[in-house]
Amino acid sequence: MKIGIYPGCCFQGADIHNYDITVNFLENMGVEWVLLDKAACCGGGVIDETNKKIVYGLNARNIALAEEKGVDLYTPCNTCYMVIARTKLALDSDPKLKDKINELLAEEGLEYKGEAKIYHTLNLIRDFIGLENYKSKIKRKLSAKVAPYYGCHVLAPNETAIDDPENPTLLREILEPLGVEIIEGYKNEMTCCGYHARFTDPEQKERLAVKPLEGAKEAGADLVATPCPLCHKAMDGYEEPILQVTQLINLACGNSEKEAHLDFNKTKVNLKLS
Amino acid sequence: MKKIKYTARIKRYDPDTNKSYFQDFEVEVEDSLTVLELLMYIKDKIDSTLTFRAFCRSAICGSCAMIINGRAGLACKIQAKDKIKNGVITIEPLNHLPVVRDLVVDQEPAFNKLKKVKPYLVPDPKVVPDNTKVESLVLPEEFKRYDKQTDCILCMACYGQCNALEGDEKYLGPFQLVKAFRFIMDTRDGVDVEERIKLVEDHGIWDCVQCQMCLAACPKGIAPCDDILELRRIAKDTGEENIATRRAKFWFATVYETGQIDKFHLPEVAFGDERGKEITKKLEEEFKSRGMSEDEFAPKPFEGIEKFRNFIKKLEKEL
Amino acid sequence: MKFDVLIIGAGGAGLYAALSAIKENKDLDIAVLSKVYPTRSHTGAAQGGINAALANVDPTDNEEIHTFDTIKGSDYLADQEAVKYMCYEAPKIIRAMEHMGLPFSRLNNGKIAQRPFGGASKDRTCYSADKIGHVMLHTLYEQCIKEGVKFLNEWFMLNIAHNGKRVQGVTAINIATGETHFIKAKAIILATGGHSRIYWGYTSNALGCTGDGTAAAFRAGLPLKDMEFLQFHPTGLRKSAILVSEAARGEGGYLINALGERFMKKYAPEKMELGPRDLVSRSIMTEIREGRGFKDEEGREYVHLDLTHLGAEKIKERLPQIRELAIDFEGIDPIKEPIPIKPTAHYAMGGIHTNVKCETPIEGIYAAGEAQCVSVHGANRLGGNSLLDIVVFGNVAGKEAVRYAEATDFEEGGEELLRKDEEFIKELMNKESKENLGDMRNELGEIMFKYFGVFKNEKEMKEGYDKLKNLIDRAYKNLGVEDKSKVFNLDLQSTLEFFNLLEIADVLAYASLQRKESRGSFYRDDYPKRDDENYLYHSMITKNADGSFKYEKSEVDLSLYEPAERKY
Repeated sequence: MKIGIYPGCCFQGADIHNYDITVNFLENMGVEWVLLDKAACCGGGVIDETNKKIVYGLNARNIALAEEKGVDLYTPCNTCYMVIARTKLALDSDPKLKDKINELLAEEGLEYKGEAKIYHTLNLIRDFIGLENYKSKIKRKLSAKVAPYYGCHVLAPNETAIDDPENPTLLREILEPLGVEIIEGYKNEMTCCGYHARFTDPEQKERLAVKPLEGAKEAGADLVATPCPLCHKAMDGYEEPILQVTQLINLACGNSEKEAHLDFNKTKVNLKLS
Repeated sequence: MKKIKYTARIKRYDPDTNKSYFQDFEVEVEDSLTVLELLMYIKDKIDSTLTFRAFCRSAICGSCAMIINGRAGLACKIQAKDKIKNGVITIEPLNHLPVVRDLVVDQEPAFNKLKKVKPYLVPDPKVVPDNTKVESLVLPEEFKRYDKQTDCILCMACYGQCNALEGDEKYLGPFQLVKAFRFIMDTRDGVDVEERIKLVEDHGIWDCVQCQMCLAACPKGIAPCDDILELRRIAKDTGEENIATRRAKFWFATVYETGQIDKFHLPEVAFGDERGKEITKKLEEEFKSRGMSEDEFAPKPFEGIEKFRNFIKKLEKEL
Repeated sequence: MKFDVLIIGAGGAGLYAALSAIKENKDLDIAVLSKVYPTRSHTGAAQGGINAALANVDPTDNEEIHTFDTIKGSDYLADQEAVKYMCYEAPKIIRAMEHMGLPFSRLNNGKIAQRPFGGASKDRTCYSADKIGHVMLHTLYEQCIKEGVKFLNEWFMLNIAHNGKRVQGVTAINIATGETHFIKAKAIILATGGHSRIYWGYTSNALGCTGDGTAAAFRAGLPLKDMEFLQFHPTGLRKSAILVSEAARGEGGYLINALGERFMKKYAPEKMELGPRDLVSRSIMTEIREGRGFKDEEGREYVHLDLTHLGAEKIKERLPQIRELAIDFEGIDPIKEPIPIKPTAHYAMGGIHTNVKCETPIEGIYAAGEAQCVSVHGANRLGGNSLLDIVVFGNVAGKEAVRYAEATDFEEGGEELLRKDEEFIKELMNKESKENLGDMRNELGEIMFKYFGVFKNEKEMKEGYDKLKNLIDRAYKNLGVEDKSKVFNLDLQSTLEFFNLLEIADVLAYASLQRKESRGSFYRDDYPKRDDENYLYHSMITKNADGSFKYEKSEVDLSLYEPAERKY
């Protein structure tokens, strides 16, 4: 069991601790990993504003890097997952596009074959690690009321959605074994965090980010849990705290709060550990 | 053909009493009903006051968009049996539009926003003849640039699912921006691109959050979110500089240089003012407090970056 | 409320009329009243194309050949000068719409693409993939926004007021508020579309194709023409009657009965499934009538259109839209199962009688589109000619109405009609309904399809007419509106539409009984031959003051071509 970690911008700059969180998570799960160190930015929905075709090329290359190492690709980021998975769909359904890009990739000695699977934390646990195996790694229980927050890009578009977009249950299935009480059906639980408006209309991001948090708080949640580092970044710093699912998993697997990087949160979290 | 039993949970609104509530209808019906046929069955057999719009029944008129199990779509195009979750299918009116009665919303505000983008062709006299003896020439590949966008049936499913509207009710809306894109791409249109871009900037292309929900909602497979990125590209190339266009340019430049976006310098460049500088200063302090040295702040090119840059150049040129 | 020109209906005909009216005279007060938002109109459902002898593909095509094809297709019941006018206008109006931004499919040289179509001797049909009606409707609406046309969206016309000589206005309900209004107008254009919904449950048409303008015109004493002619398409989906295009058979689909037989070998051994539409429709109905069809639990009878032998790959590649249609609307994947189909009522050739200037016998009342009968389609409409008809005559109606409005003032009176309509509605609203509207609509469809459908004969039609009369009596006696709210009361609207359907079904049944021949879409098994000697005329039916029908024969314009046998 070996996986290729795709390093996106969520491992960079002020978010560098996300790399530790990801690595700790994989090690807690007993998953061997290798870093796709020559991978490039997925485009993040911004390179499109220069040239959409480059996005296809970038991600064909990213996948090819995993295939070169004989591993599947794993990213904890919702957006990277969606953008890379959408590229894979486009390449697999358009042989001409695939051939042309492969022609260009050959200079780096790379080839996009279409064999590597694209994983995100959610489907990695379900399909790669296995839910039963996952549960067996949990060493202690957390005591808190947790509101699951999926973020948009694991549920839309439909073609790349990881779970049933209308009635997702995976996040509950992943959080419940940690011993937490699940708060679902809260107001604005499907509203976007606004992350991608940060540098196009900062006010728009501010208006959106707080909405799911307020909904969760109103429903009595102690904190919100999201798989996505970008949602986390967008929504941290308001009244209601938010953490990444992998941080909670790492805690339940025995990591200390420091190791789980709770100290980097702007809004502090109080968790009881058994 | 089987009959199946389930509950249709329908959001009702009674304008006479101003009350809004969910009502459960227990039905036993053929398993091949569309959601629209289910609603018609309920109206015919159980409650004739249940109010919803419907017309063509075949996904071309756009009357019956509504929220089904939390997702917007056309009632006539969706099989009810696929939507039953734990014995229940939930049906609500579209979001972001005032509810008139039950599943009927007032579409006028969204149509009024459409009118703001000049949703029509103004013929370019250089391309479009001034008489009906000849037609203007449009090459198939020129038409292909906006062919998909002309599939839009104005059903407003994307509008009812849009997250940007959740944050800004003045936001133009996804289908309105698709329409703007369609005319910018039409070689026959005589309106200056700059002018058309200006029309979609205010509460428009920059407020989209790229959540992909419009793409998931569209019954015709149009991707408004992608068209919005295209509009931003055009705005970057033709319009005035702003925070977003500076971001886009910087983003591409640093990815080209290093393979990764330089998030350390991004705020400074994008904001282009004191606000950006302040953010950078804070980041600097934070990094230092983590014990990082200055050369670790921004990404560094990986080994063999020359080949990567070459690859990008070729993608731009040859793809 | 008053308008110089009021257009009723916002499909292709209504929107084109509005555009040509406003371009003709910007100073006039022009409005379009529609029971739906304009882009919902049924024009949008047209898939195939629009005919014009542009000669972009076949340089030997011209307007004259288009004229002849149309006349021949009509089984010589079309008025030939009117057809000629339409066909000569066609290239100009296509280009005019192209200049408005209509996204036609294109040839490699950039010109408008054209393809072959049933009944046309040249590649003449301009198209936009399979969505020509949709893009046409939207382009016209866009131009209406540009020109600032006023719209009364989601208003439902009730009746037409006139004084026996000139129009005074119309009565209408604002659906959103439930308020009724009398709207004064110098000129009105009825562009309210077809009435195939009289075959409720057996029609490809939208739920709203209820012939509201046609019925209102009839109540107002205007003559309806050629109402017995209504075209059936052989392959509608079992449950919804939504159209499955001819492409399914073109790609090699089989029609199979309950015994598993490819029954077309009995009816058209050479052409098999690709025989002409009317023959295939009759063959399917023969199988069903003789007990070799399928029947589902709801009692719906059908045969199978089997594509399974084509294989998943071919179906996915060549017939993706048909597959999507079957999955979405019937819940059946044609790769795995045959599609259940039955003939479906598709297009009304008959309608409000007008001359080639779209004038009815009452001054200031014009009609255009499927609601109107000039006639350019005669006994049978060719594919690609309906979209042409609606824009050509929409254009004429718009201009003529402007000319009339410019030369006249508002006519006094007519308001009393509003009291009458309000009284009728009040009565309906106060009445406890003794019967179910949905059931009655289904019953109407059953009667019309069974007795006035693909096959007709004297004995059955008489039996059917008795049943229809009984249904009409019961409806007026028993139907009330259960929904008592004023706001968006679609229960009331559906009930009023149903009364319109009954009005039209009555006329269609009556007209069918009078015509003792078979011509075009109209087929009687007791008179299977065309009879030019006795029946080469337009039927004209007017409602007398006592409610009885006046039946008249009107001459067909045969000034260009001698009637000949219709052979393909």
